[in-house]
Amino acid sequence: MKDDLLKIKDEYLWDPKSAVADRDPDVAEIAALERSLSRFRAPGAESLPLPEALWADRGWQTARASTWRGSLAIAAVLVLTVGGVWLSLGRKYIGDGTGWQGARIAGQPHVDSEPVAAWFRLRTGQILETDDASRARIDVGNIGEVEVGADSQVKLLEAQAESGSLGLDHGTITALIWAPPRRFMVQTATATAVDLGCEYTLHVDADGNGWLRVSIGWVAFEKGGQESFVPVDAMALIRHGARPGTPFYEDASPTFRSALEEIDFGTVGPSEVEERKTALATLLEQARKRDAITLWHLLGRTDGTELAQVFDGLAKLVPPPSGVTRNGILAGDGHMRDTWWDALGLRDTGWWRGWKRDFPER
Amino acid sequence: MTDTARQIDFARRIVEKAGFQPGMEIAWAISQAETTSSSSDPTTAEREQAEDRADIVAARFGDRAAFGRLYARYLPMVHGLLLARVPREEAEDLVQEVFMQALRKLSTLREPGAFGGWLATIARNRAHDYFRRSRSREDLPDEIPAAKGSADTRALAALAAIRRLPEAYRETLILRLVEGMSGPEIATRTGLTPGSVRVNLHRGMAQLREILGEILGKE
Repeated sequence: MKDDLLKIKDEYLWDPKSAVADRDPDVAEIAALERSLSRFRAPGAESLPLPEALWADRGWQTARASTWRGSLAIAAVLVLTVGGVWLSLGRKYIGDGTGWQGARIAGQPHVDSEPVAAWFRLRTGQILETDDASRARIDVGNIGEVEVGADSQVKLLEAQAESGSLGLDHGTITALIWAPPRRFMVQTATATAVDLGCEYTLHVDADGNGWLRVSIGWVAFEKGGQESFVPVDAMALIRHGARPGTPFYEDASPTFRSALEEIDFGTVGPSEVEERKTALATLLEQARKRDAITLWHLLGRTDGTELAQVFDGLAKLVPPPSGVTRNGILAGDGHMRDTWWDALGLRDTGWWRGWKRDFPER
Repeated sequence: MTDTARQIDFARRIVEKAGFQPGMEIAWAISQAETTSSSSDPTTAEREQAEDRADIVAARFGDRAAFGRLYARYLPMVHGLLLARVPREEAEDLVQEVFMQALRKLSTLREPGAFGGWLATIARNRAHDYFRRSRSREDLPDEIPAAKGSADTRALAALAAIRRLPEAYRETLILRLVEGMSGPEIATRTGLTPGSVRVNLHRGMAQLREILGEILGKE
């Protein structure tokens, strides 16, 4: 028994469902040990119910409080009421075009170089700044919130109850927005991140380089009419002075990502032509079906021979639907590009073009 | 995380942050989950995490049934963590104290996703308190009964052997071998990473082999 008992299979130990106990003598022995030890197992919740006193205890704390505790409670209620009214007034104030409410999360953030209290008002035009030990939250009217990370500088550009925008000079922000698309924007020196109903993190360093990473929904990243549509689990790089990076899924291979970075931000010159050709060939070779979104964006960012290569690469992953032709794409037909997008299995163009109609540029 | 689980999680967080009224947020979150659940199937762990979040939010508003569900789901973990530290006969009483303390402090839990790790900390602290407050401190017996004789004696010997292991290995092995939780479940419930749980199981088992080998070798 000794040897059998001691030979334990790691996989069975990790997950008993992964091995069939009765077909493996080693596993069967450890299963016997489990059965033996199961006598010490917790009884079911039915056999060990939570005592009623648990709930009575909560009530007891208020119902049977002593007189001075009662007075204290009344005082606390008054404080809460006054505080609630103040907060309520504050919330009315916030979102009327003059500012939003903020809260200190850690350390000592500053607004226009003045240290802020636990709760504060951030007026339009003011700059919220954090150092390496501080963080803050901004309530985006009634539609979301933004956490401002350490070493960040953010300017409030517009503050309505249902919409608004921030300017991110440098640092990291994480936005969680529950409004319809295009109600909240973040401007950086490179491009503007437009919320399409989502959660995302945007980071820009002091040199103007950074990234946008989407964890829920979609974000449009725009500059000068050029857009990147970044879906969940994807990101786009930011380079100072360059157009928004082409979106790619985070689980794309390092080779793919490196090749895309070369295509997006590599120096363009006679000596770099070969490098760019190699990068494009590598990217097309490494592309998986879900990387079609990257290739689709490149249809609008390449021309000539490169565009033809991208067309062929994308066609291998997602065949062009009826009405989409090679000549049309090479000629820059936007309608055909949109039609092809619809075949990618993401939201159709009616949706992500539609939000522009519903919420025109302010 | 699947898209559905992500949508559910998103809904939960929004209702928490947006300050919906009690009851509304659950209905809203569930409707969100239902409308987004047609395309993909979340894993069991993701579904349980989403359920946990909903129950934690509801329990904060005094929903007994929600807290009861949390109790049922986390009872084995809390019991196992206590069993790794205190005498067997004390573990059940302390389980209830841990949950009472958790209910009182639930409003201080900032991130519902951290519930398991938070509850585990309460359980560990309660076990420490047990020894600190006990006048006649009784540590777990070092002596391991000979692993021969009745099934009861052998089981006691095995449990005592596990209790001689370092804390991290002891906890994980008790959750696995006594409480019958799988490695993934242990990770989900305790907040440990799957990698840590796997390492604890592997190394703890190796050490248990040695101890059991000594006992069985003496037979």
